Amino acid sequence: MDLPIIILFIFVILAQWTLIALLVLNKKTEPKASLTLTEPRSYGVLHRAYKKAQAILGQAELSSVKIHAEAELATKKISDQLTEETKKKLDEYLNTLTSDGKSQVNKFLEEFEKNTIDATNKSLEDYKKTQIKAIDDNIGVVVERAIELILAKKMPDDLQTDLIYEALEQAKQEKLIT
Amino acid sequence: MDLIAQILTQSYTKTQALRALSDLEDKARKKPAKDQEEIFAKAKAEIVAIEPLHLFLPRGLPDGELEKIVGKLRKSYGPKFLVEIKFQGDLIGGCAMSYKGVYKDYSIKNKLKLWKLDM
Repeated sequence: MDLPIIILFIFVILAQWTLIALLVLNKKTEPKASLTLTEPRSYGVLHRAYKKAQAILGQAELSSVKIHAEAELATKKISDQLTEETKKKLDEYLNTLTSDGKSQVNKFLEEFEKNTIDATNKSLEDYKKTQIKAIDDNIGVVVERAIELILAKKMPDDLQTDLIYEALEQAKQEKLIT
Repeated sequence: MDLIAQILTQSYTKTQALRALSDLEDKARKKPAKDQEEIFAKAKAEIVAIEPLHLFLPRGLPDGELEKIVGKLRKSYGPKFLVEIKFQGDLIGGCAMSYKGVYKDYSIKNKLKLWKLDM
């Protein structure tokens, strides 16, 4: 509350107390007869003073309310401004934070994608190699078995004999027999 | 014709030659002659000393083929050349052979193996 309002309140309270004191003093000092004669006049003075004090008090209250309202308005305005400012800053911060977060998430996703693709490619390559080797081995075994089965049963004697002569010739060239 | 030449005329493997020598020795015992034992002992030692060519075959040879093969070998390596036949079914075709501890595989099985390694 402002200083002038406080002074005004003090003044009003002092005025009221002064009037009350005067009234009491007047009752004690003046004789009963004169009191009777002067009572309506004193009462009128006191009544006017009281009214005046009431008016001043009302004015003070009005001023107080007005100042209070203005203060509230100002507080609200400042609060709104602060809120707006804070919200703006917070939004900016959140935006920055989100941007950083997005960046980090993107980086993580890129790394993850790269690692996953590399790992998948390696797995595929290994799988292909294994499968190709298995197929090669199987082809060899299948062909060998097929040839074995067919030749063991169907190889003509003259072909077998020719193969033996060829082998002997090869052994001769290789100087196996000396 | 000396004893060895007589035996090798109808023997193509070392086993056949030793069996033939044993048969002749048994016949000779019925009509003992001078130095007979010494002659047979010498012949046996000579046959035993022959280093045969070991032939590994997937199956038996047609009739008369062993004679042809050994005849061909004797043309190249001398009249006292002998073989020993051993059967090894998984060779499929052709043959393997070993001579004086050296083994060579000329079989179909080995050819397939080499072909598989080249793949």
